[in-house]
Amino acid sequence: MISANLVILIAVGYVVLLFALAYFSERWAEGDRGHFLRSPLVYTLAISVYCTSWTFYGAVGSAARSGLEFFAIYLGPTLVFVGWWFGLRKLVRIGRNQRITSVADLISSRFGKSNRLAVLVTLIAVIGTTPYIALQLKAITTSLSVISSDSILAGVGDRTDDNRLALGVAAGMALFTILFGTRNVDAKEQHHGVVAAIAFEAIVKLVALMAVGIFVVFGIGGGFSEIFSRAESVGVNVYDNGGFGTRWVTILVLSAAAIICLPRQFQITVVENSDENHLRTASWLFPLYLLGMSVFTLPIAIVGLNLLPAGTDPDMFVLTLPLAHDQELLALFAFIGGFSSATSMIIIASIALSIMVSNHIVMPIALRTPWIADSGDGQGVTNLLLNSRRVSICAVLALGFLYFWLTNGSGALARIGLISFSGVAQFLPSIIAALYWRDATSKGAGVGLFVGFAVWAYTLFLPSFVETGGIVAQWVENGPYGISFLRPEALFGLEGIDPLVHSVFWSLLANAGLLVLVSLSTSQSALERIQSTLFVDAFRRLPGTETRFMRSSAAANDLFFVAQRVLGAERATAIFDDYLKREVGSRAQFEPTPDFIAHLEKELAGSIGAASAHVMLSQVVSGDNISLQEVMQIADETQQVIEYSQQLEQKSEELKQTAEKLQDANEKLRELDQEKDDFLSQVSHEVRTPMTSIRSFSEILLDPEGVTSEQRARFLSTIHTESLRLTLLLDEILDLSALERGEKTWVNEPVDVTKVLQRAALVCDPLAKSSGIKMRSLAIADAPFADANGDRLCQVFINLISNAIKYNDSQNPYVELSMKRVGKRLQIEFQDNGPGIALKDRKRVFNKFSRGHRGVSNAQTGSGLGLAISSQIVGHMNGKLDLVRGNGEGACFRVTLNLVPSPEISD
Amino acid sequence: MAGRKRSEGFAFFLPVVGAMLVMPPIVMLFDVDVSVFGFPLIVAYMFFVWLFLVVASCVLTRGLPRAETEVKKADTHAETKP
Repeated sequence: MISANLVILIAVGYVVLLFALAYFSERWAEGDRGHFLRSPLVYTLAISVYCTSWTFYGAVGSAARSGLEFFAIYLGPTLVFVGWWFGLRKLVRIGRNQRITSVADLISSRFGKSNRLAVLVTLIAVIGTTPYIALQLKAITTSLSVISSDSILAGVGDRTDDNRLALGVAAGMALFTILFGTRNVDAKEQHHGVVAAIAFEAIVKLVALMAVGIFVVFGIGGGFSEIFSRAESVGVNVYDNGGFGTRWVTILVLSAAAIICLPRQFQITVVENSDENHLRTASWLFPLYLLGMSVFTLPIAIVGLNLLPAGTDPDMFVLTLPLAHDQELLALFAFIGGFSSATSMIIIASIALSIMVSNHIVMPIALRTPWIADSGDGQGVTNLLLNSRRVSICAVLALGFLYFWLTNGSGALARIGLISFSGVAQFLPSIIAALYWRDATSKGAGVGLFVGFAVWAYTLFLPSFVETGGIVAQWVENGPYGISFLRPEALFGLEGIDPLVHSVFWSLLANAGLLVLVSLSTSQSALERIQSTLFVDAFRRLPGTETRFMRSSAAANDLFFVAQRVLGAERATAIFDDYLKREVGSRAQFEPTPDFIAHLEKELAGSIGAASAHVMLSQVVSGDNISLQEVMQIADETQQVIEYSQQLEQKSEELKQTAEKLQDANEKLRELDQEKDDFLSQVSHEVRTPMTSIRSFSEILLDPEGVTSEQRARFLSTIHTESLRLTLLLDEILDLSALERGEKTWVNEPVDVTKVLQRAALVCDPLAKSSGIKMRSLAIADAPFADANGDRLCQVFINLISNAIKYNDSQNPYVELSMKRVGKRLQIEFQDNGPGIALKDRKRVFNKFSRGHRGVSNAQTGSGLGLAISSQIVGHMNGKLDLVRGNGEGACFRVTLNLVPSPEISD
Repeated sequence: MAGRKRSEGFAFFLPVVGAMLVMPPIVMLFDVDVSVFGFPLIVAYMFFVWLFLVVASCVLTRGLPRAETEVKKADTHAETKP
């Protein structure tokens, strides 16, 4: 036997070693040698905090009792790490990007930074973990009493001693954790000293277990084959054991969930991760570590059952086998290994829980309680956070001790490992939804977690107290109030399956089912939408692209740290106090508004430049500090910006179109201007010809001597004719411009076209006779009425007939008038057998001052406006004046008018 | 890029295969009264699958791209060194 005091002394010495290790690591972490501390190896070793004393001692016990089941505890995490690329990598990336501090922070941050969810998760974590800490305390006390007692039939030491020892261990761990876990409030919540100590402990426990294993297998067992051949005789069924049913699958799933959901695993794997690439090594090294931890488990169990007297606690085989063979040093080493497993779990679990409790429960309350937080200077907040962590660590360990104290000896602790696993496994549906399901809502996660937790508590946690008797035993036996339908271990009559499988099935079914159902029937808030995108699309965003309101873990004190770091304590305090006095009044309602953050940013920019200030602040500014309305407003602003840019686009399109129109209009104007210039020059030209002759003749007449009276009369008559022509020309110009401007009131009415045509023919008759031209009327339909102005139409007809007469120089001249109906239109054609109009002139014959017959004698030449005017007139009557290809060699003009019912019929 | 895609495919495939190998019904195939080098078949099988996963994961990880973070860190680290 070894003296208990010596063992305790060694344990204390070991803890002192840990202190030294943590202390120097903390210092190295700041220097060059810190590179090793941030290596993938240390990270992987730290993850092995998964292997607690429950696995160090308990795996052998489990193998002795249930054969191969312990494999599942290790295979679940192995599968998760082997599949790191799709699970852990994303978790770690999100943890880094969002500055996640705990599993509670992860879930609350994803679901709209809900504080309620954070509190719920924290409570579940505390309830699930505290018994687990008690389990470690029990392992330490039991192992100590085993190693220091005379008999190897141990585990029955003095209870009072046990309690004192457990209290001592708890206090020591509290001291250690407080010293190295709450030295400062790091933005990333990383504790290099602690991690180094845990990594060291990982090596100690692996080497210790391997040493015992090698001793057992090759020292006393006679090799693997020899040991396994004895398996059946000692009752360990390793052949055809049939243990691969629902319980096996359930434990696989639970252990896979636990490696992510256990607060201490999350703390090490996600929060303490300093480099995502460390996962690459951990993905195979951690499974290898687990493999090493379990190689000797079965042989130790078999040899223990074989060689040790019946009634020896299988959980303590790791210690009792060396002791039974007088290998006290080895036993001591094994004890240190078990002690390492226990302490590393206690340290990390209490750090993880204290962060959750202080961040999600103490701080929100403290910031609302004036007498706690209102200490005046900014340092108070820092101290508050650190002190709340310290108190939380003490409280967690005290709870653990209390649990140990109350249940010690009842045997309830033995099952706590898997009960704890299935408790924290309730986080799994929410975490998976957080990482992969965009539409999961805060309400869904909350309801799922709460109900899943409640079902777990009722079906597994409650029955674990069955040995305490009383009402619990009664409920488990007969159901609450005798309702057997609701028996905790046979819920809804589901009997005959393992209680663990039963509980995990119901709780996870309710949890995941409600998560999905409630998520589908509720909608997300704006903040949830933003966060869900940040989480689900974690790999699509480059770090640094998030805007400042999307961060998760920061509070007023973080702002203060930044301010203090940049501006110095006095200045920072002054700014905060000034703001408090001016805007808030007390720290109780202190919530940094965007205005204040902007103000602070400006102050910081004064020292370190605007860009750096923004970067610094966006690292600490948290969504918790910005209310939902503000987020909505920001979202609205984004929406507004999008709409505005769309409007701009639309406007620029409009502008483009307008510019095109303007260009067209400009071109038209130029054309018109050109036309006007042409017109003016033509008018001047037309006016000049008669004016010239009038001027020259009147000059001759002014000299009366050289002119006979006969000549005088002839000159006067010429002047008269030319004046008439001039007047006519000016009249026509006026007429045309009036028509073009549409100034004259124009009335269209049903007009008897036949009568108008007859009238025009009558007017032109003398001219025709004097020119010897025959006028023929063909196919004139009876009294067709057209929508027209009678006098103006007559003018057009006269113009067309007189043109046909004037320019006709054929031997046997004639003009042919015809009229026919074409649908709802009336066509009047004027065909002559004159010279016709050359093809090149056809287009411009209706232009002003263009004449179809340039070579014809001057006397007969008209103003050149006749056809232009006629065209305008017909246009006013909604008709058309065309030059068409007639049947003869001459020209053929066609007037097309709209037919209307005759007034008699319409009357 | 094709190599990366393939590695990602295997990275997804490996844990799925691992889970199938250690879950019923496949695991039941090895739960029989046979010894391999003195080990019960089921124990040997468990360790074999386990070791296979470790080795496969180690090999596979080489084919998967590193995250950018470390490159940056290494650079800054080099710069801060005198």
